Amino acid sequence: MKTDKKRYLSHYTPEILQKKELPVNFKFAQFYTMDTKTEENEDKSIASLDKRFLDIKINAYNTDCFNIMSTLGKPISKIVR
Amino acid sequence: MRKNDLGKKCILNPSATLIKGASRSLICDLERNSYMLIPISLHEMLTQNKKGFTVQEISEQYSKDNKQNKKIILSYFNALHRADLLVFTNFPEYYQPINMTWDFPGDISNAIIDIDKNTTYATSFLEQIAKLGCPYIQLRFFSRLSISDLKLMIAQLETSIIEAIEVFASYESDTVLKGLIKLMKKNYRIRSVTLYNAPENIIKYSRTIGFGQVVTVTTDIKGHLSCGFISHHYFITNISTYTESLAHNSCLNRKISIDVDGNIKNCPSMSQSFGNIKDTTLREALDHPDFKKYWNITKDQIAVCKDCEFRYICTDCRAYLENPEDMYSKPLKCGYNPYTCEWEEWSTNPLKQMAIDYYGMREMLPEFKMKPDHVPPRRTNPEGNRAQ
Repeated sequence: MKTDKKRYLSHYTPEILQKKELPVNFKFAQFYTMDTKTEENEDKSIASLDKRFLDIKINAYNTDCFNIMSTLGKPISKIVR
Repeated sequence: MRKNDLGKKCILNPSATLIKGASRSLICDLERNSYMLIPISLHEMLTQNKKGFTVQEISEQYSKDNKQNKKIILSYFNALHRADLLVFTNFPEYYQPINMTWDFPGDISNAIIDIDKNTTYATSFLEQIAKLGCPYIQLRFFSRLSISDLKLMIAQLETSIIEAIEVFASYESDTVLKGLIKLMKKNYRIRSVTLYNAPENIIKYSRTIGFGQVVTVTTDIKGHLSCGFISHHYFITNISTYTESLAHNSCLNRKISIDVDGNIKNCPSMSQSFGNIKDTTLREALDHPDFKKYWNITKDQIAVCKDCEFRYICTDCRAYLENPEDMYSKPLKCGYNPYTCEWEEWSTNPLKQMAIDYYGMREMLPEFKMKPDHVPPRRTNPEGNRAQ
């Protein structure tokens, strides 16, 4: 997996990323603490908490991103099958 | 999975949650809005040690008696890994859980307004809805839609906090359709237009990057009685809906409605009214002690649903129940059986015939051939207590 740091930097402020727990109703991306390093130095890369946040991967391909913004996120009524 | 991963602690991705059903389990990826059905045995493997385990440990534990199990377990974990639902790490404590509390910055999150040819009340209620902090409105026209009336309603919301308006209306002609598309192009608040009783199921117009569309559907809709279908098409796997379902009713919580006669209700399909919009404000209705009666009924309290693996991603219905006298009864229009894991046509279920007659829905089911006389006696619960 590739880390898209550029995209992450354009969308999220460091204040948001410092939170250990994701905000309620956080919808716009997936936060991964996935390693992007090789097997050998993986553990070193996540040993530091600060470093770990730098390795966050944003999956901006979340297809429902816009739908969630535009609607309630669930059906208001269930009238059409 | 890489070979190195087998020796590392394995935990579920923090965005993945497990729901155990009577016969199988569900694993939901709340951020990718997807779900995967898994066997209960795998559910147990994943939950037996919350601090993490290695796949090697698990596979050895479960294959002591049968060596074949090892292969099966590895294939399970490979499937989860391919779906990005697992994390292999030596530091499982770094992976913090998602906050599962739910709240909404308003007294009401969504409103349904039903309109038919007899609807005469003024539209001043739209301002009242906005004052309750409600950003989502659904307008359901059960008679011929007047585009000029719709324009007036939307004009009233121009400076309001309303974010999205959904419109349901009967398909009349291509001229009305074109008028709606034109209106939608000018008003970004209109996020969805669904025209029912149409000649075909087709998307007629779609804004760029998913900001709403005009759809025609062949579904025959006959007023509020047509509402309340439980279907896998309505399953929602996002954080907001999931967390709301854990503590509240997934349909009725923070909902307000006005039926075709102007009666203020929690849902237009429900019988209990809290006043008429002509002489009662929405705030007064909302403050009635019984208005929020259903808001905190979760699926965990509902008969049959409490054993269903889909219970937190499914939107409930308390208006039409399998047993109308029991407010904790299964939704009438749900054909899923969590014990056999099979979907069946709800309207042909003999156990539902009495309720179909009770709600006067038989005319809606023209294809239904079984006579009401053939209905076997049903359990009743006159006190309206929770079904056992």
